Amino acid sequence: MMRMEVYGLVKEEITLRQFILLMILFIIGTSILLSPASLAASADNDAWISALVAMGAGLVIIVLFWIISQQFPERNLVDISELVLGKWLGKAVSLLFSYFALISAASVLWTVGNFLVTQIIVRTPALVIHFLVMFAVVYGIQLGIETICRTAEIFFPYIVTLLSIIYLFSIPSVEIKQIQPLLDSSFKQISEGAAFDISVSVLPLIVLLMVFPKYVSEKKRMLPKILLGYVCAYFFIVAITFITTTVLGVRVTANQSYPTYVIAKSLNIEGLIQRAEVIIAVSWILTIFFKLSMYFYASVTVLAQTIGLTSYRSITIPMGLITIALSLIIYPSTIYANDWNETTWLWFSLTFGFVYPLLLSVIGRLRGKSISSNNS
Amino acid sequence: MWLILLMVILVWSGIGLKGLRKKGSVKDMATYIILWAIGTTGLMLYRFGISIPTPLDGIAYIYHPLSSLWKQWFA
Repeated sequence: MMRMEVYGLVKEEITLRQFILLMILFIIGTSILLSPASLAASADNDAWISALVAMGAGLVIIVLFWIISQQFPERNLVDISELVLGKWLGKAVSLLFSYFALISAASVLWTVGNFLVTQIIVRTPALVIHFLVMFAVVYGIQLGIETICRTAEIFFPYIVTLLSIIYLFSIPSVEIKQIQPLLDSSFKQISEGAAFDISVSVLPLIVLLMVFPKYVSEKKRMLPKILLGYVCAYFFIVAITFITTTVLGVRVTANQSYPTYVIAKSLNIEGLIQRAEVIIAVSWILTIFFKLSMYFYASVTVLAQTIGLTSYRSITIPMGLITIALSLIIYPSTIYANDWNETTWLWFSLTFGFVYPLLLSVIGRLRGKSISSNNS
Repeated sequence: MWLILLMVILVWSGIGLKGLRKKGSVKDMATYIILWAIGTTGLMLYRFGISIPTPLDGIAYIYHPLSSLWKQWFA
């Protein structure tokens, strides 16, 4: 109890380095395992080019987020909404945003459960996995964003090393002829793959505006460092897309749910290193922990701040329970999940990850005078 | 297993509620109780096999015009 009160009073602060590492892990999150399949299904031989296009287009979205952070440097998304849209409309939009973050958290939790149940621990009930993962997430969020960021700092080198092992040892199996002829896909195909990839990797970064720039301690020369971090994160996605399509072939990659996992399974270095798939599973679960944590953090803090609770920590455990319950019913089947992600997810994430911040920025500028007078 | 889970949930929520009562914030307590009730109800409905429509159906309905346009464009 005493501890909770102390946590409620302490102002949290994270470094820019910690924030960038968190952002990289968030971008890699689900994409490292899922993106190659969707990119190969849309853009065939040019899946990796589609990922490059997504990286380029994503830069614009990152710059948009940065512009908003500079427009309202000491505020988070809930503050900005209420300031720009007015108290009640701002609160209504914030509640919708909390719902978006909660749905996203539940879908990520479902993805972890589905991956483990179908690939590794086949006979374990999904509910047990969801409980265990969510327990770690709720505990982390109870301890605060500083703890999550420090954890990201600790795990980052391990994640990069584990992924690099898979990348390096896959290089001997790369066959460029698998993706020839190059640039064979149409612009439509490439842009379809890129759009879906952006909706998974870049647009959800909006949830980080609950942390950035309010809790980031150093505020000088942020943009170049953030862009560099973003490009590094996307490098992992482009590289794994290139490797999966050139090693497995485009058709096999497109037909697999988790092509990166299949790559890791097929690794065999002179009979010495085999069954390396758990490496990719561990690194993926670590990255997804941070993605899930940030979605959950956004849903809890936005809700708590919008309805004016004294501390968000009091509702983390019941919200965790709701996330688990939601994750059990969110996708009735894998086919439903694929169909929903292909048709609706793009628009859902575009609404909250692009239209919402863009409107906040534009309306904020149009109402500039009144907002600055409110501030003073 | 489900009975144990329900007991743990109830005891846990009781401990949390006791802490919030000491703090004396009515809004926090009300939100806490409502969220616990929603979460526990959701889990119990799942346990007893009572089908709950996924919230994604509602979202899909809202975005249907846009997603069908997208499908036509990339058909």
